[in-house]
Amino acid sequence: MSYEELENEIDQSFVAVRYNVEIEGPAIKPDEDPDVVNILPTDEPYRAIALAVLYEDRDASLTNVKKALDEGVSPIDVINNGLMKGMDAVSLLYTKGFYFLPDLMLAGDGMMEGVKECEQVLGHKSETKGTVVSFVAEGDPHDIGKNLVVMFLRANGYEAIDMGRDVPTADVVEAVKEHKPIFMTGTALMTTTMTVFPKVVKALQKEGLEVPAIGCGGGAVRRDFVESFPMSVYGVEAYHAPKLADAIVKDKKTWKGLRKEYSDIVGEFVSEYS
Amino acid sequence: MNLKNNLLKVLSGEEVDVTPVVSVTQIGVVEAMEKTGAFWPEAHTDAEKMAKLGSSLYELAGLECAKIPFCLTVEAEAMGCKVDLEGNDKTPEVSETPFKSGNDITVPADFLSSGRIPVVLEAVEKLKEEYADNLPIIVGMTGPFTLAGHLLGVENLVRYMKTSPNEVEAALENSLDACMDYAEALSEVKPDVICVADPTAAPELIDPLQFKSVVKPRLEDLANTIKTKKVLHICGSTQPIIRDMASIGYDGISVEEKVDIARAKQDVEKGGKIMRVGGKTMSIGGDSSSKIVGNISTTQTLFTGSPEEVKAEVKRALEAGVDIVAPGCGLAPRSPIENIKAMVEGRNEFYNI
Repeated sequence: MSYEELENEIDQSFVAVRYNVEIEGPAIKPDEDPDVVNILPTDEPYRAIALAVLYEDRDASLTNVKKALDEGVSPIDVINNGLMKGMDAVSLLYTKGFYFLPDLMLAGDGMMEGVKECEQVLGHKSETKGTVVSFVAEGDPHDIGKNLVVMFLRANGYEAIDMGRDVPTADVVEAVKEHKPIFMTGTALMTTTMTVFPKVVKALQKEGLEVPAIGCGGGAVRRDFVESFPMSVYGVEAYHAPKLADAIVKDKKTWKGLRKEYSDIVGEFVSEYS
Repeated sequence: MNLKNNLLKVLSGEEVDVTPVVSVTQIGVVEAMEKTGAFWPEAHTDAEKMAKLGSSLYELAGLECAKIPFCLTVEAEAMGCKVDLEGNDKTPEVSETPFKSGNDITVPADFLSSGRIPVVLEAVEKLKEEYADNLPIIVGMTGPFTLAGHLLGVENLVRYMKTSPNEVEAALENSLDACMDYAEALSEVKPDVICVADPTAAPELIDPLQFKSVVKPRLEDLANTIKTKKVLHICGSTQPIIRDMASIGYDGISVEEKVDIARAKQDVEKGGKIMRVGGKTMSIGGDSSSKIVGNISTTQTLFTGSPEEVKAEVKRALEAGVDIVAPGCGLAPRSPIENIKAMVEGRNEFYNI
């Protein structure tokens, strides 16, 4: 029997066990992923800034951003060409299954730290594309998803009003009156609390209020449920939120259009919408 | 058919004629509360009512088990957290925790007589008196990672997974102590099945590799202290960790509808028997003995779907080879009893009985 034949005969997955070793897959540096290579800037100081975000290094992110700003680089460029590129790469690796929720949170920390620094130099918030109201459904104390949504929206230049968790529907209605948002996001982890979304829509309609779309998402939330009432769109990932908002601002889309063209708008294959 | 023997046979790996329909997760629904008079929040704190609501879906819908309690906050409360029990259609949630860091967490000396732990133990006794040898009694408990999440805040814990491994270690070890104490106390009152739910360890929240290296060893230690049949429940997209879940030593693993049962079956087969080498669990190949429990959607079908849709989903799950039919997660309290009935009927139609 040739070696090749023998090799096929053996169940390779258990070969290493006798050495008390388990094979977990090749170790790849995040910045060596071919798709990430396409996203990351090649010129300094942007590359260093993006890499610090990609490597979830909050301190390095702050140091790099400060250094660039001291050298006179425009804060807008630092955000758009450095910090955001790093975060795009993080989102991509998350979609591909290399990065997980903790990575999103920590990379987000690093990015927001940098954004704050840039805004200080600007002397004001970076240009605001529009106001978005984000809430966690009444009765639901789980806010990790909402925090991510808010982080992504802010990083992309939206004024995100963070209403916190377990937000009474009446407060959501008041916030719409006050802020006239271009987009809203509602999140819920539990099956019980996702039933709040249609109630919010009803309460808004009762007051004669309308928002272009309410992005609804979270643990138990499913597309079919969200599409069973108007004014809503099922949001699959937190980082899709700014892309949906962009479509509303730039292309005047509403919930109907967002539902129809979701995959195109977020620019990737989304199994929930296929 | 003896429902208890039927379920225990499946969990022991024996062949049965009819696949059981049970729930290893929360089963309190408002409709059943109205019919039995055992309402939340009293049913969380009163053993009599807990037992009554816990067996309500057997009485009203033919579900083949009794299941208590109705939340995952019993341990956290006994550890000193504040829990919001209010409302008859919302599950209790931890609202405040006294712990700031992993090393702060200590199991109180009176842990087993604190909070609602005595209530759960008493309710098991009551259910055993009432249903003696026919109905399996399933008791749910919180897994160590989820408990640590309650005690430190999930967001903090998830961050610590990357930034402060020592913090995670301390929190998990101390939470595990509490879980093991509770598991022993539960084992003493002899329910038929203990279901450890550890939803915070789902791939939505942590890296599957960390599940394997950090959470799995604790779940294994816990499994060793449980003297009854045991099931491990983790909701979410658990496909990447099925193999690990199936090689910890639980008799069943419970998954939700995001998991493809046919693929999960293949993964379980690859899970392999386990041996311990140098304090680490190693798979040595062969079939794993963990059975697959699940995965009827609690958000779509059981909650908002029609009975016909439930039946169709049950049949699909049975065709794919599920070993025990069950809701994929805790039932939403506003789920209609009709849909739970449909779960049993769907199984019956599948077997022409």
